[in-house]
Amino acid sequence: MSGVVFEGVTKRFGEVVAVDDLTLEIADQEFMVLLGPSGCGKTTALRMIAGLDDVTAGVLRIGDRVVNDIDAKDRDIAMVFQSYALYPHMTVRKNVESPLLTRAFPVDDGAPRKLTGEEREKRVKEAAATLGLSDLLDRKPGALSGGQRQRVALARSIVRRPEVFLMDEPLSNLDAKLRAQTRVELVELHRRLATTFIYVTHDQVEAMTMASRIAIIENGRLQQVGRPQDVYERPANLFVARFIGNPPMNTLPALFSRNGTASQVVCGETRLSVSEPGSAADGQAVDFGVRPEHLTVAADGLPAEVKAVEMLGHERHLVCDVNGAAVVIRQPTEGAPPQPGEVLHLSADPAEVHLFDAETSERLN
Amino acid sequence: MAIDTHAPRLDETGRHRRLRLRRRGSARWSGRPGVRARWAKNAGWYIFLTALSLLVLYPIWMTIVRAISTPLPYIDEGQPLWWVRPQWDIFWRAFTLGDMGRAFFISAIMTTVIVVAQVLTSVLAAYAFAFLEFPLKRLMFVVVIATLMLPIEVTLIANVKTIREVAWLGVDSIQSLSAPFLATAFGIFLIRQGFMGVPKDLRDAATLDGFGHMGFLWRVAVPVARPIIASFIVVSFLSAWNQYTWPRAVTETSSWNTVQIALREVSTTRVDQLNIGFAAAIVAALPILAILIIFQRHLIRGLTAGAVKG
Repeated sequence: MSGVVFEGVTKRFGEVVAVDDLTLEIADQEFMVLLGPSGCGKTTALRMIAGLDDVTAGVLRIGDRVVNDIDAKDRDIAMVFQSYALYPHMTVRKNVESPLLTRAFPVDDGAPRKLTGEEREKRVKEAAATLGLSDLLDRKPGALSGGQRQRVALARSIVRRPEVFLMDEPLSNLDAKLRAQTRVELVELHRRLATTFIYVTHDQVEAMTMASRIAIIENGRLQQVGRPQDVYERPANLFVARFIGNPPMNTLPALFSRNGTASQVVCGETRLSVSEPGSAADGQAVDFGVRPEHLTVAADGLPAEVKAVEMLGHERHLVCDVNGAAVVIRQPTEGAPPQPGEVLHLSADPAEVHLFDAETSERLN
Repeated sequence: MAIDTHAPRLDETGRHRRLRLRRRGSARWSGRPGVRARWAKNAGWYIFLTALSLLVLYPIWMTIVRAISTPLPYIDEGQPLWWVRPQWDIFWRAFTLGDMGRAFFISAIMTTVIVVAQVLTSVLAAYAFAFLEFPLKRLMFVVVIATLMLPIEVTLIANVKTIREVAWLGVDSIQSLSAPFLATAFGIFLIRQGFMGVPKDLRDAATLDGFGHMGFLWRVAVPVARPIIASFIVVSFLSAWNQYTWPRAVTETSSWNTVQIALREVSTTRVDQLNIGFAAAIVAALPILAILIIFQRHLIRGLTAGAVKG
């Protein structure tokens, strides 16, 4: 069992910098999710851990070992691919067995050696039983459903009992219902195996629901690392604020105003109280953000014209226009919904207003 | 972890398909004008395709008819479409005539050597061109492909000279019959295309599974590209078995005749027994027919590979 450490790791493809000076420590037995939009470098980071891409600069460790120059097959990792990458001509049994064929494994605490056919079969059966594949061992991938293929890919990774599991968007080819179910099963699998999981996704729901910690990456740079709730409640910058949460955080440009001890943002004609930021100066241009569930309709506040009302059953979303920007309010379904065209006044608890520097996009409060 | 085999969903799909089929079936007999028009269109296509097949099958049928018929009565009857006074043992006689059997044996060995060597060299070269990075790769590939443009006549004299100068090769030997055909640009090109279709994730998965180049080649790349390799085997077999010019140039004694040379001799020396020439031609084509039947499934898949999303 071991963690993974990036120390100033950079990956360049010619002129393109895919991963830029990444420093990140992933603890042993952690479920770390690398989250970011397409092309942000998260998959490249994962492929560097796997040994499928070289490290251009910096140091990459798995456990105590620097692995920069160690071949993929000699790193103790297993990977689940987005496409599952099952060998189409082999049965499920052969697919799951394939990682056991070329390597030496320690058996009964003895010196590592290649497994015998019987030992391999035993391990394949164990892995198949763990993932509910015992009845499908003699089928080929073509005769399986998407969910079953995904399980075979998982079985192939657990059969060799690696120190680190790498998963590259393994749920993205499943339908919504199966995805939700598999999320729960992956968390359960992580608990049972008690091994480090590193999981790449662009889906913040997957990140929020499964991760012990999330690392948010954009343009090859690490934006923030933290527990899902911390990242949600205190996004480190404007990108994270807008990326995490569904619907995303509402952000509007404003000016910061310090009036004695009271801190406010001035947006159009309206002033909203905010919690005291450490570094903002009076008159500084800022972006302030409020999550849809923290906006409330009040007698006085930010004027917002209702454009549309989305009914979701358990709640409703009011899509409003504030100074030309779209703002979403999340409300319980009690009472009659406002009509499109109606003007509401919005306010928010000062503790729930996030303040970001308009120039650097960094968090101020 | 819960077991989820999705059996209900598969069942559902199956049931839907049956329902759809039944609905289509009932529409067929409902006599609606749209359905009738579609049937008329289909019938037109079938007539057209049948006519085309007859055009292709006619020469083959006539070869069989002329092989079986006794030559003079057949000509007297005005060369009809059906056989006249059939001689059913004609095929066996053609096979046992002169050195036909021996020629079959020589051709079989030559063809086997060529096909095995071509598949081996093509698979290895195609692997390098498809999966490895090395200097001048593109240029080397262009040079390989350029050799496709050279017909055998261009290199014939130079090759014959080589055969006569290199003692180990020499005329009248399996080496000399097969030497110029042990590698082929066509095979390299075709199999490379097959390998290029192997998804990158499979390569990565094989790397993580610890397969080296040879492991990946034989365990993954070759099985995945099997349809294309099978179609190449058929093409390679066809061209090796049907060779005439090269064996003619490097054989001197008739005991080294290949099937095509023996066939030519049968048809030119037995003008009194026209039918035995036809029968020999049919016998000579049987191995090709066998190979086609064996590889038919792969051949169709290989030739349509990439054309149809599977």
